Amino acid sequence: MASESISVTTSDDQTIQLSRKHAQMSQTINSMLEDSVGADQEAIPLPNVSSEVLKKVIDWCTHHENDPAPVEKVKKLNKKREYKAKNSTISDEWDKNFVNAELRVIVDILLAANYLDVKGLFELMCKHIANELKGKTPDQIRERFGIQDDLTEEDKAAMRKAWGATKNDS
Amino acid sequence: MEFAYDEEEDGGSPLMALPNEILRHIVHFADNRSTLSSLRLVSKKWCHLARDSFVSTFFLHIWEAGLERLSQFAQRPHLTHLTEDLRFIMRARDEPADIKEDHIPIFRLMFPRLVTLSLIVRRECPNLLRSLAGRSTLRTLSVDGFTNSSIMMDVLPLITPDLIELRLVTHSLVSCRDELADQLQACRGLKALRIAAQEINWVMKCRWPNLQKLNLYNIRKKSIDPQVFYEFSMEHPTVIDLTWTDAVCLQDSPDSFPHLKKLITSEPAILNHFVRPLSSGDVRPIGKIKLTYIACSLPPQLSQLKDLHTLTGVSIKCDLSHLPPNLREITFNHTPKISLEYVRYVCNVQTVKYDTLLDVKDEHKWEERGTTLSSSQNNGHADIAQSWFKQTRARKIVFWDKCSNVVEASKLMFYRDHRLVFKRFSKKVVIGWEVDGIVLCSTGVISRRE
Repeated sequence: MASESISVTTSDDQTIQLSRKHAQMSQTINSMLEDSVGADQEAIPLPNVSSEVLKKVIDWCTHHENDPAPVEKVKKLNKKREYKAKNSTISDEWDKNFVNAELRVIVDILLAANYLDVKGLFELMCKHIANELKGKTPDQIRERFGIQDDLTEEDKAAMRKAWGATKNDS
Repeated sequence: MEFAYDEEEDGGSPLMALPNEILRHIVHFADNRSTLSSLRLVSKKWCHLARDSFVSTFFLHIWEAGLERLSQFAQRPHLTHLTEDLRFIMRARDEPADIKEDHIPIFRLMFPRLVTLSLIVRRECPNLLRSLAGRSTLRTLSVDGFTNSSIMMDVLPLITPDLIELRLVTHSLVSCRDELADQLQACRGLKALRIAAQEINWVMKCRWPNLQKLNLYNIRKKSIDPQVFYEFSMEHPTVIDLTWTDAVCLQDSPDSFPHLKKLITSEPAILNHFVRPLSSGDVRPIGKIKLTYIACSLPPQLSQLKDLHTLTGVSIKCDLSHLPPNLREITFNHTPKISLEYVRYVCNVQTVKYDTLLDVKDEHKWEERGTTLSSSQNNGHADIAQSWFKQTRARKIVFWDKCSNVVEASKLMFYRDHRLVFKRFSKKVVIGWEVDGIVLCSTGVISRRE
């Protein structure tokens, strides 16, 4: 019978135990587990995830362990449903608190969710960053995310001409 | 426009540590026009991400300098290979008016996955229309703005047999009526049709076994043959959503469109026709009705609307006492106040939407009905709204952005256990409110603080 907990080794050489249920929410770990059936149960190496970030991922998995499995996106002709699929609203209060973190942490969790292939968490982090982008002027976006402005005034003028100016243009 | 940028450049931002695929996914969630417009001016990298997203994540909407911008994609046709939704406006003053003859082959290869095409074109552009014709993936086509009947002949090739939704908002259909009838008849899978035609007998002779939504307007009175309509209605029992905004003579055919669930009309005769029970005595399953300009024989010009709103004593000509018992929502659009004698009928409906204040006074019967009232045009009527607030006991009241004055009026409601929803209000108006433990949240919903 398969063990109820899984050991993983993080990028900072920490060994962390997580339940099989939570481990299986990561498609990456799940595939590794399937590949290692019958082999000695060694800690699964996660060289791209630090212990601090992994604990955050486990927190999220714990909160969402009873969620229905994510459905693969299908192409929808119906515009309303398509809009819904692209809707970036975060409705879960716990999730709203979860994403209330420094940008560096958000990015690390997003990269971890991408590497571990935890779809729900990945989508949540992308939606959160997208929400942070919405309604902001270019200056505000640069300030919020620490992005350098490498466009010249000529570039900007040309783009406004090509795309049309909007009220958010600074 | 083109400029070089380094895909690997980090630029110091943690966000720049993310691979482009992930950044594109993020942009995909933020893909409204204003956000993408901001992103293009953030940095070179974000400009590329936003521009690619603008096109490749499903939609390309061109509102200005239409053809000039569309022609830019002829230099990079691969950017259009994922586009499913193209909306395009070309104004009468726009130059150039059409694509060059030698660009037609390139345009034919663009937008190979087009599903939705919406055109508002006020000039002749046969080359453009020809190059967009024959897309087998196209399911939704909307054509608007044509004033020159000769352009319709160029539009015909856009109408492919696989269309599911077709919207022809043009008054130039007469010149190619027979050809268009053949094209429409070939669209066997058509589920939604919106068409403006002064004379529609030729449309009514077509048959679409899956038709669910039918929107007919600008029909000349007495132009329709009642027998033709009767046959059409009997052979399209699938229609559940009907918009019929003009005065037509209907034959007494109680069983027409028996499964109708939604009706939009400006004609009392249409309403009276469709709210009656079927010949079997069964009630119709109509759940939503929208009444527009209902008290007028002709739609008023916008400049007349103000006068229309101030009319008093004008009762709706429809007999609301026969509203179907399962009606969930009724909307009054550009109608005068509902006279009191009708309030007792509509107050049984779950949701009532209106753009003029209901004349709700002591005689009203809204109590304990759980009705939702939704208003979009109470601006300048704070005193009336206050009076109205005091008296209504609707469970949920929705206000739209135009009725800013009712925010003041709504203070009167705080002691009541009502749910107030403010939609599209600016945050300046609604955030920060707190009276007697009731908080106006940033979402615009007032709730009682625990």
